[in-house]
Amino acid sequence: MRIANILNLGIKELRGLARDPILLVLVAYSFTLSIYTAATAMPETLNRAAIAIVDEDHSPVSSRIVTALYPPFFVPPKLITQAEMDARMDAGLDTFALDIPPNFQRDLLAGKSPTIQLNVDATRSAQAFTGGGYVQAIVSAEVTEFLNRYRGTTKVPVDLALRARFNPELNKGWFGAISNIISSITMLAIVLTGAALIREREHGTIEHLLVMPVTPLEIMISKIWSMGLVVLIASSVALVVVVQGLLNIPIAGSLLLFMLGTALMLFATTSLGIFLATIAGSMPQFGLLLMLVLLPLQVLSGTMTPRESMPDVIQYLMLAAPNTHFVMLAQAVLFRGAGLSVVWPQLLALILIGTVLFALALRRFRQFLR
Amino acid sequence: MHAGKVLVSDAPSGIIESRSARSLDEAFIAYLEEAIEQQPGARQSTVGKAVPDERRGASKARASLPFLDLRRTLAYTQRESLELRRDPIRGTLAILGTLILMFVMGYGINMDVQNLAFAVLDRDDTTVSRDYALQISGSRFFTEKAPLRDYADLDRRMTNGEISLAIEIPPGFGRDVARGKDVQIGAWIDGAMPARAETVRGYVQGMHTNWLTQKARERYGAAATVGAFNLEIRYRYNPSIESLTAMVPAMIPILLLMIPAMLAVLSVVREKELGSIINFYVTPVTRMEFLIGKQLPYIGLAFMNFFMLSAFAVFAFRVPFTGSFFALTVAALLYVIFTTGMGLVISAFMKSQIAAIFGTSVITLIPAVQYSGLIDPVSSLEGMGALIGRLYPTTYFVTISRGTFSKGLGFSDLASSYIPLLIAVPVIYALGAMLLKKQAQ
Repeated sequence: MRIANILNLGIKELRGLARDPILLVLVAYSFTLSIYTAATAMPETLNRAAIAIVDEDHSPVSSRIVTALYPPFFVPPKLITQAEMDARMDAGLDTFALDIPPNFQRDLLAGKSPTIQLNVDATRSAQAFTGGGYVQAIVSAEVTEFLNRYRGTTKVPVDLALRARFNPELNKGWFGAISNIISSITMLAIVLTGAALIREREHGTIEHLLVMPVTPLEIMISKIWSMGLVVLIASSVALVVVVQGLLNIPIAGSLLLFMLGTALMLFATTSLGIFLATIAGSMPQFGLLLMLVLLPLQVLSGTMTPRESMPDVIQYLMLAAPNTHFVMLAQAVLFRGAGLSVVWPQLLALILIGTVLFALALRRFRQFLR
Repeated sequence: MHAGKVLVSDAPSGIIESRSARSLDEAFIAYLEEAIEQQPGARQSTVGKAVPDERRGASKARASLPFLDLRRTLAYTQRESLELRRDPIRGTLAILGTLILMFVMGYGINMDVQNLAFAVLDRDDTTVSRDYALQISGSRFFTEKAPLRDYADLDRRMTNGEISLAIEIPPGFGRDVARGKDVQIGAWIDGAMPARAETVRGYVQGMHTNWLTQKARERYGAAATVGAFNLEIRYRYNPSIESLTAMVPAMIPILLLMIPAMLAVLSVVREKELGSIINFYVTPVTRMEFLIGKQLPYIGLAFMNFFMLSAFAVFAFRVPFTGSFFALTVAALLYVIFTTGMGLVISAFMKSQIAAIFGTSVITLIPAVQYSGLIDPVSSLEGMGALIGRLYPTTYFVTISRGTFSKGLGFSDLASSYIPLLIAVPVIYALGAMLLKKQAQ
């Protein structure tokens, strides 16, 4: 293994990339605009939820409830009739529909405990589940306040002070930006190395490499360092310019530690890219394999839904994926300000997964070259 | 072949048979005679037998009018399906892969937050404070970890992600509650993952209120038990709040976008890279014939995928299907025409296969997963994301899929979601025709 060979072969890869302008535009897009869009599009969990109210009471208390539901949590509620409610929910116009029964205020004051019905479109999972709680809390607060003017309180004076750490306003954009950087890293690392390898084979330029005095190991390392470097630079730019600069997201921990994690992650994913390329015989097969790998990595690594709530089997299976560990590391370092003492298990896992993937890829790569 | 026109193309035996000739030579002469006979007719464009009719179409197409010659289109269809058939790995990947993805994602995406780790910093340690902690650890949402010793411990364990919720009960809590003095319980939530934190917040608030009502009942007796009012929550379309019922109908559109687009995306750019695109440049085939011909086999494959996915959802995942399957099928057909068409558009535009694959992943994966209503409804998105969500046809197919699966709807209820799909198809064809060049640049 000669360092000079690896260096020169890597430079060759970089030149190849530099000459594909569309590819460069796509790289730039996925580390800037794509991240910016994701961070600004993500609503806080309950943002502008569509709600409609069937007010059959038309009393002071019912109008109190109507005015209590306002942006940014809800869009200004639409007042509809009972008959419209079903049609609107069927069409997906409203996520919530609150039905205040006739004589609600009268029954309330008479102590008959009347019932308000809240219809939730449960097919809209995230918003439906958290939003239900919000509506409940808001309606209860309004009704209680209204009642307190008529009756004394009978509550236990224990207050709950809820504070969210590391992201006090629970701004989803913070996390959205980071999870998008992670998916861009994965996607690029696999595509750039894997597809470049298949292209060399389809065009026959791999023959050029074979007649040169270089070993498969040198070829593979050169592909890994060059593409890894491109993605590493792109992701640091994304983090510093887009995340810190444009989006003003505070980063709690050490950028350097995160970069170390990214480098290890890239080692694993670029190896994975080469491995996939050696399995797939042609570009069309590679494209499909890519989807088969990317989609679960994107959805199940813990960026979209928490890992704890996935079935055990999937949790264990996903431990074999570099993304899972990288997501944990990114969360810990960037938001919770964790240091090396906390994230070393993730770094170790990334090294381990990377080494295994590298060894597997190298073995297949040697056969691939024959 | 006569005067630059291919008269017939078939296996030798087929040609002989079609003219009931004795040898290939005889059949050849029969074809030529027929062609010469018809020529004056075709020139004066008198509509006669069936053959000139078809030929007029061909000559029009040669004058680069967007007329579709069925034979040439189907020739490309045949060429493309042969390529697909002779690469069994690709076909298998497309079919099996879709099912595997459906299976993994259907089970993996779960909006229900469970088994969250929490710990208590109990500075009071009385029956009342322990009662409070028990209330939380007793629920199925939380799993209690070893108690916290102090703030440093809390910091450390929260930073390394061991616990996502910490409860602090102040000293003298039990006494103060008994005396009716104002006390405050502290709860810290790990906000690194906002969606999860939001859910945790909801659970904690709910349990706190529960505990208060329970205490109030113990202390004030019946006076407090009469709740002022009830709020009855009806989870419509999915009463037991099954995650599968919510997610699976939305997964179908995503899988029907990514796999068909990825299948179709290389069909043109691959010819460009390998050089066989010259066949398109130098033959009379028009752009639409070329695109549609290439698209048909992928539409077929994607449509088959759709039936498989639906069957899988209903029979393996037991997601109830309540609406009109016909309505869903029509929407699916429009949708796969769009998704395969999108693959072809990217393919026509790109110059290298790498860029095409990369472009497809960028254009499909992120918008479909994040902006089309899979998790956050499109109405709540903001900025560019909201715009993408509104323009992207996946959004509308998600609505139709959820509507027909869970809400028991049919055509008339979902009409507004069909319109964007109907618009998307011609738009994608127009784009394809625009981007595909009849001449290399």
